Amino acid sequence: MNDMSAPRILTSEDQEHCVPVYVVWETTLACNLKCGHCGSRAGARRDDELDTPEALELIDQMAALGTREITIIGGEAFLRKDWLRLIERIAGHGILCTMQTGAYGLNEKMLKSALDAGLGGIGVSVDGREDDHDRIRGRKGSFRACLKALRAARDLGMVTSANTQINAISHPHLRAIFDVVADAGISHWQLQWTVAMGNAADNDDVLLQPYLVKPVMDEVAEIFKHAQTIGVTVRPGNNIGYFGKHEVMWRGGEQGGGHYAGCPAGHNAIGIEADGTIKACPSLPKERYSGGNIRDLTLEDMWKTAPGLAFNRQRGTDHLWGHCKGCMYADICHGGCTWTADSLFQRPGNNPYCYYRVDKLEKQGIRERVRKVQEAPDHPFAVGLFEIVEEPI
Amino acid sequence: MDLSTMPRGLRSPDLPLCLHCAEYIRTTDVPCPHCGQDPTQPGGRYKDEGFYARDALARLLDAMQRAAAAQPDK
Repeated sequence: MNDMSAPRILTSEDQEHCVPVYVVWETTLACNLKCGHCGSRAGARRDDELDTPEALELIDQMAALGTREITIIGGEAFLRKDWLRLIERIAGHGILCTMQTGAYGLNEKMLKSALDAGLGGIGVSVDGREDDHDRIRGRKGSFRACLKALRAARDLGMVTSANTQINAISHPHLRAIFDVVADAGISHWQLQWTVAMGNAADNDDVLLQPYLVKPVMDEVAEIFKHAQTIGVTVRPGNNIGYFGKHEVMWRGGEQGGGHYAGCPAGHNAIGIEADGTIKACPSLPKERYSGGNIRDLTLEDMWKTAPGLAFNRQRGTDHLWGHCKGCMYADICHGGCTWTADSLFQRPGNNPYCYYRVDKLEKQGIRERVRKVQEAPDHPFAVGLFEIVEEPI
Repeated sequence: MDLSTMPRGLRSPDLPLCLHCAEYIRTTDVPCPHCGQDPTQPGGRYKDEGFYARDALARLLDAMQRAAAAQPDK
């Protein structure tokens, strides 16, 4: 039960019958941090967040559809007064409940209560060395709070992971960040690119330029090998792409799947906003990727009939464009993470944050940069518009 | 949950590895589009970095599991 990775491994049956194995649930948009790269622009709670009976009923509906893991996020999930009741209900269905947190204000007593309620593990966001982390999270002391929470959770016997966004600030210090979180007792270190959404679209100088994907992932590969020697698993998030020489190492064999198999949004994953909006992925904008609201329709109805959730299930290659069109992995990868591409270009199917692509272009003497051409509006999950600039190396 | 009532989705195909450079290829790729070698002959990085040994162990464990499953109940 306490294995954080096993429930998400997809069987053929899961894929062929679109079982919503994994749910990421923004239980509240309230947050005690002010992160410069926050895609949802969290801070104040939404006006119309689900109340406790509505939230509990939603959990029952997820269980009925075959969900095996629910990660509660925010905002900051523990700012909901009923957060322990939600964990208890999730665990009561035999579903692994995990929590993704900034950990500011998360103390040992709260962790013990969460563990007793059935929390299976926590993932703490650590986005840089102490000064960088505190600056980007908008709170002095937030870095130390992360480490304190990780150690407390470890001492309670919880499965702990750290999650780090790779961006222009963090990428030069990845090994130092890893050493600190490994010392705090994590079992997993999950990585993802910072995506051009919300505050990160406003502060676009934080974004990693795509041509740096290759040297950064080459370094991550070295960290991966070192991590194995001390019992820590380095796990690439869904937007860490794709193929190339390291794919077999971090997605093959012991990592559970064979290789990247395309975006699972709406196929085997669901995202939920605190007001009950059901989406294909927690990070996608509701304007284009919503199945409706749980106050109007059942989860089963939306899952089975809503086009906004179904776009990945029978996906071919027609939607691909740019260098993703014609790629040898096009029918497997489908352009990678929908969120990453859509946040840049307001449409999926072209993803410059791809190892194989960067490597291939590099061999042709070309590199890609992204450049903002339109600001994002001031609401949660807002996206601007970027363009790709190709230039000789 | 009745799977027959769920929406249908496509299962992602599994790509084989080139047994020389350990990158993923198509089943029809000869030579390997990444390293130019015969992808069916173990060698290079695939052997040097332990993928050969790991895959051999996985195949052995799989064979043992299948053999155990085929045994009559004890």
